Amino acid sequence: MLHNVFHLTKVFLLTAFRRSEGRRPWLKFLYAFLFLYLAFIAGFISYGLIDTLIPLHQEEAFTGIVLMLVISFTLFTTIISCINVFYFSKDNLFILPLPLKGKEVLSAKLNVLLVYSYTEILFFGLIPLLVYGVMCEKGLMFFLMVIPVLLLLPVIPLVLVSFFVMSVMALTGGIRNKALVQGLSMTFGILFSLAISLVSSSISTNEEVMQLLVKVNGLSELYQKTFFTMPLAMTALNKGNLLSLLGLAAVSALAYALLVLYGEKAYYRGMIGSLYSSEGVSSKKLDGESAFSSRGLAYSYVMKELKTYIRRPTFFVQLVLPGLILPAFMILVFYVSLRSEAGMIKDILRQFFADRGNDGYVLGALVFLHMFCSLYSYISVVAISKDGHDACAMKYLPIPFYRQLIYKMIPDFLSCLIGSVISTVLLVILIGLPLRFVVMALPICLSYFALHGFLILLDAARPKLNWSRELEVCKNNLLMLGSIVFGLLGMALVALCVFVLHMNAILQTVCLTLLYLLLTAAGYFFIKKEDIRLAAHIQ
Amino acid sequence: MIEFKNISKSYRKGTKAVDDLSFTVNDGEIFGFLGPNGAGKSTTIRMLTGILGIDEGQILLDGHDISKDPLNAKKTFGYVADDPDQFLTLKGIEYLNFMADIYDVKDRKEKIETLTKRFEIFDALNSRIESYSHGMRQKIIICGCLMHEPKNWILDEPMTGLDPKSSFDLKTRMREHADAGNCVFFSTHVLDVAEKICDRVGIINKGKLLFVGSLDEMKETFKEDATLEQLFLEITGNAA
Repeated sequence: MLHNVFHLTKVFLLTAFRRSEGRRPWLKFLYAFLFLYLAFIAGFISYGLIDTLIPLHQEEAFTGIVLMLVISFTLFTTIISCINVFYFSKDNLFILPLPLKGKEVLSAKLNVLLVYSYTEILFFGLIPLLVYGVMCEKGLMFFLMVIPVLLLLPVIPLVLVSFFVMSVMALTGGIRNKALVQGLSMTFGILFSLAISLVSSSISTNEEVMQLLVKVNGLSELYQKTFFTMPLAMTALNKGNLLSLLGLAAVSALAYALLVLYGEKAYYRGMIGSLYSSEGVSSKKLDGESAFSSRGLAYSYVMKELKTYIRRPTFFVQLVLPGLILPAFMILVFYVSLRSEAGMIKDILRQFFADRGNDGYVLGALVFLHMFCSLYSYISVVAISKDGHDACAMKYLPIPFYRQLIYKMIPDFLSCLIGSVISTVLLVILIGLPLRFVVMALPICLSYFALHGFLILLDAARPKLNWSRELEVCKNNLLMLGSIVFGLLGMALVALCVFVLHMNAILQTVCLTLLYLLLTAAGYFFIKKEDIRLAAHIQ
Repeated sequence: MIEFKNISKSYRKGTKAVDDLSFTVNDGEIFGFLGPNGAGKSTTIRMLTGILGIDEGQILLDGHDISKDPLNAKKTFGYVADDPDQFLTLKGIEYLNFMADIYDVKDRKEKIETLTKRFEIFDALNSRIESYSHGMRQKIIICGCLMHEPKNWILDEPMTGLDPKSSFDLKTRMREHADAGNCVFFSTHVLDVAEKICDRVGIINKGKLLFVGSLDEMKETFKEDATLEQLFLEITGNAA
């Protein structure tokens, strides 16, 4: 059995990470840089917290906080991967007919989930504990204990999450509602991350850090009572107690084994169904004449595009949601972090709007903000690739290719616009932004968002149509950087107008609107002229 | 009418996926395009529908060059791709309305009802295509392709996944369509089907056209009393 589990785990992991094969050296360098950056951030935050705790002789509480974080993150972040790995993984179709025992498949999938959680624990578990060990001059035993403790600690939370997911899926038949289940779990994941950011943004002074640490320490004590493996892990770490480590290993192994036994029934009950037609064909009747009504080709095409973004949870969460909620969220974070001085800031801003409103700073800042918001709109850079093999339809349908490109740009425009409207409304409510600035910013933003849609040219030049997982196209896709670079250029241009050319508000409105309109028109004539050449990349 | 004039296509330098292909599919006939895997059938169909560019030669659909006058050429045909997993996020009715908008179909309600009832998927129109079985997906794509009543039908492995009744219906419709003076060009691996319904066949292997003509002409040229399967194997060099 162990032999099969080992090989299955290897196959699952290779399948999951195979996309990294054949990457270019500069990409590897980029990933290495990102890794080091995250490691640095984790180390830096840990340093700050330990430095605050040492003068109070409370540094040992730090290990409790880190271990609590390990448990919390495993509990919350594995919900999404747990659902995907267990139920919506494509390999299920190939694994089910093989003569493998249920517990072998289940164990291999659990191992994959454990490996996933280890990659996260590396940043908020291993690095903080290493920093702690160095700063508090811990002995060799501490460093020897760190690795096995961090390998064993996520087992219990993972077992709990798996138990919960398996039970819910078995009872509700969630596999038949793939879109709903994935959408809910991803939205939950995003809200969880946003909530953490919102809480952390409300902390600015040392006193607030201390208050939070006291709260977290209290929570950590609560965790110790709930997760009985946590005291074992803490004793193993802080006191170098080998017996505690063995106890942790024994409890984790027992929980793992019990889940495999439970899962043999619950997992397959939840999974086996119609894997091909998981949604089930509805017998709902058509809505009379209106079901056959036509609103024109453009409407029909754009609606087809919008439905693809909205009905595919991965696309919705990765491409649509960030553009809609992140800008508003950032404004809220900024506001919350300054809430103690909100009244004063509002007065200062009101005075500033009245005194300096015409010299371009306020309008520049507003346009700058909207361009910053559009950084998160990735729709146009993947508008063709997201269709995968369906994109070939663009070639055989009798509609000019450039018109199809324009139809595909419209959801991007709408996404930028809606995100922008939400942010503007928040600014008007929270800081009393006068409406005249909104009116002046409107033509600039509209023309800029129209131009933003032409990022589709990046996708048209190198469409990524041979993908097997949606995340390959809407997350692991370097073209998405195009939106960021474009936004940064736009922001630099605004800064140039305000700080170097000292344009007033009206001049800014006229110049920037004209510039973006001209560029949009140039883009339109370019795609119209190069229609056939652009289409040639889709095969 | 579909005319292939000295068509060539290379994916890599020196290797031609399709090599100097010339033949005509006349109005009023069903033309079966046969060949083993990797012979160049799909490449030819992809060039014919405008998905792939043509390196050399010319393809004319009712006189319209697919490279030089693509829009008018595309309006003349309906295309069923070999992979029915298309537009999966749309409901059946949404897909058909989308196709009706693209081809500006006037009496869409009547056409949708007639076609989908004939293929027995009318009751599933309010469900997303991703929930359909393989055969149902094939049927909805065929309905979408036939709705605007194209003069030329281009069907890539159209029988795959269809149940016997739908397969029979499609074959009947292909015959009716050809008999009305239109043109049906389809690729298949099922030689029995080709033998029964094709007026003429073209056999391609390693990018080269080995034979074009009717089954009778093929028998005259090769073996008098052989089946299409035996002839196919002999022509493509796969005979035991």
